[in-house]
Amino acid sequence: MIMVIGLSRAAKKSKKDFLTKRCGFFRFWGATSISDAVFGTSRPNQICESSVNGAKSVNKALIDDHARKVVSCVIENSKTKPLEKIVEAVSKITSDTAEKIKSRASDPIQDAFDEIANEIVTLRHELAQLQPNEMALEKIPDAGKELAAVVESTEEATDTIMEAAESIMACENEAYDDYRGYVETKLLEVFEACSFQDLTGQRISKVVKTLNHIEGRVSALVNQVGLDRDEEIVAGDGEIDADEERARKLLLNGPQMKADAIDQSYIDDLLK
Amino acid sequence: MPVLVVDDYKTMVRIIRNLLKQIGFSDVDDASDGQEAFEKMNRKKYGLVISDWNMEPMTGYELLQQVRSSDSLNKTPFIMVTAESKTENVIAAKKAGVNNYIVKPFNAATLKSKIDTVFGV
Repeated sequence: MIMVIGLSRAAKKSKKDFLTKRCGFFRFWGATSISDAVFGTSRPNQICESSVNGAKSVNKALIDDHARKVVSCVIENSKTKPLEKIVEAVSKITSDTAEKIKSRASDPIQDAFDEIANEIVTLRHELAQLQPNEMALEKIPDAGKELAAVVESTEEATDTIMEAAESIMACENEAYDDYRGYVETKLLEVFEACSFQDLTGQRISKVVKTLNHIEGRVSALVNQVGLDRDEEIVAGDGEIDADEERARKLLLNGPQMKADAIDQSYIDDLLK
Repeated sequence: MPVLVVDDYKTMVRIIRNLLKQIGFSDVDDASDGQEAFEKMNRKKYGLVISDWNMEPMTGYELLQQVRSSDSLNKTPFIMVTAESKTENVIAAKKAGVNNYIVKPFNAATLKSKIDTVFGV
């Protein structure tokens, strides 16, 4: 491969013709300038503009030095050595220059790549600390099961209590002692059923603990990644799912915390 | 007077049924959502509807709107009994034509008082 550098097409053609006649067939690569010859017409993807610009300034000095060497070589040897030897010498100079450019130019770009790779490794490490698999496969499903168990046990307790209350209300025992005995038996069932509060309280505490654990991990990740609140991507109106849309449209707010809920007397005033 | 209680929680239906029984309403039917309630109302004339808000597929709010749009049902007394305790809910229900609004949890005295108010007792 011979690199033919010339400003004009005619100049490049003239050189190609001369070399082909004298030296046989060669593959020619044309370029309008030395830097174009080195980088080609396609520019590298810029990872970091400053890195590439820095690389270019370093390479310009190398290219200028290369040009001087080539010209010196040709001038010194053109009268004493055959063309093949001159071409061989110029090829070696070009090859040496290309190696230098490659090693120097790659440093700033390589640094940029290394920086990006390090960022990715760091982020993966921080994500791993979040223990997402443990959360998704164990902690969150377990929390869901605990809450389902809470619903089930409160329902069972409520049924027992209501059953006892309905039985007492329906009791037609006229003898006072018998009636009292019956009522006490049923009330004991009510007391026993009320133990659901202890068990559901423990289950809910476990769920709260899981939520606190998740919150802690996510907060740590946010701090380490350095994500600001205003960088967060908030779902716009177009991204609300069907359930949220329905909840908004039909005012499905659900039970409020005591501090936020309005009381019956306020509602009565609103309705006047 | 037949009363229709609309709530998707069987426990709440049971509580309201028992409370109504205590205050003299023994003819009580129930439905588990607005759609089922509206169908029952078109088959039987109810003197009072007591409905929760948050149900699927039709909410109590949507049931109220349907009842008030119906020529045959729009005069039916309608009390909302719900955990929805935001001002916007009460205002929306009032605009839709609710007769009274009870926020959960409630007691028998409150239920009786609001029913009495609806019937001018």
